[in-house]
Amino acid sequence: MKTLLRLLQRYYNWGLCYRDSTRSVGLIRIGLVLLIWSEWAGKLILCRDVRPSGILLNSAFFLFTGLMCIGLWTRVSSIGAAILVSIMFNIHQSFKHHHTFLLVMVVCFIALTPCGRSYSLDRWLALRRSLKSGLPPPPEIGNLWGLRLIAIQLSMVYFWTGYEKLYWGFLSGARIELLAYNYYAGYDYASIPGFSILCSVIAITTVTLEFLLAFGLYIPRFRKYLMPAGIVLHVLFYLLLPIRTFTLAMILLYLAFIPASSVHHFIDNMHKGYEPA
Amino acid sequence: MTPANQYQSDKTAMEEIAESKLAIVCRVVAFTLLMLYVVFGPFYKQVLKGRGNLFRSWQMYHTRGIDVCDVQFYIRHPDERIEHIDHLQVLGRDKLLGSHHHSRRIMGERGVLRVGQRIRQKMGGAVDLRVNARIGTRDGWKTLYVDKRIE
Repeated sequence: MKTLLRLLQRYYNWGLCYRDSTRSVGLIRIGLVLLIWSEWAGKLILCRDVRPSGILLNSAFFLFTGLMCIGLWTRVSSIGAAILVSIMFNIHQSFKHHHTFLLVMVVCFIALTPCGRSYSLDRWLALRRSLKSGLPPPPEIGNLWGLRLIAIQLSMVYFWTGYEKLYWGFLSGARIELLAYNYYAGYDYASIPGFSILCSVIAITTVTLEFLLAFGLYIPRFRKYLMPAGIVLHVLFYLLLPIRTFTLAMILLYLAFIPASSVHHFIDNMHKGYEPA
Repeated sequence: MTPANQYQSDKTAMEEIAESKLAIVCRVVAFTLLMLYVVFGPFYKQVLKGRGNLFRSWQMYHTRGIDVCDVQFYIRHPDERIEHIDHLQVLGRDKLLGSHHHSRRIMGERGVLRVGQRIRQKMGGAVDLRVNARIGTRDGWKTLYVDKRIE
């Protein structure tokens, strides 16, 4: 019983008592909107759907995501954006991809954090108010439980994609060969010596790395090795396969695994010694 | 006060702010429900093979490459000599450039026969055009044709 209570306490502390710098969530907020625009905006410009309901919905999408990006009335705009992207995802059949689902989930999670306390117009306005009133500036700190959900979401992406590949057809490298024939047709791959072995090595490495990333990113000692390995993996996916925003989203969301205080201090250190003109 | 010290004192101050019990309970419930959705949604779809759109699986690229064919066309001459032919070259397409991957690859049994018939039209009906082909399946390559004559 005591062990269970201790576990519950740890779960509560880890997930719900994570009060730290809001710079990570501020950066994710901006990056997410840019990614979701690059994925959807072309299909949502007003001329695409001239019905009044379509114009209204698409205008609301651009309004709320725009406000979220610049960080104005961020609490409201990010919740509005989360509701709208969830609706859009469900009504547009062409949006129903894994990578857009990831973006939708993360927009919902980031809306649960005080993501407007850093890198936002809200922050700038708050600083201006504090300057006028002579009070200290508001802290860039908040409860980041949404960031924990993002971390869990990323782990599950790695875990379940790895799980999906646990069958002989993939581990033998045959499915990698099929991808080569599918996207890079024109070469006689069968005549290349060691091609099948190379595909098998790629397949096993990918699955191993996915399982390591699913759990290892939580462990600081492993993180410094796994994060660059994960970035290389995603960059290769991006260059070799038509996966669009998925790579950039995953790399951006690695911020959820880096302690927010480290990100805060890293940015502080970058500005050290800067003297405004 | 340095930025680092300011940050630490702000953090301490924030930790001391008391929150209402209702807010804490709501947060615990929301966090737990969302976490369960993220963790067990794919379990429901991928392990239990559940249906419906409420939950999502993480099966990326699991159908890509299925039905793609590895094809080798060749002519069997009357003296039993075999002459391999490059179907893209015969059909007047650049082997690697100038076309989308959709038009370079051959998909499915019908695709193999269609390309075979186009080669036959180009080369004339008198040649003994044959094909060896294998097709991509979820479990890997499966033999489709061995020394099949294109009619």
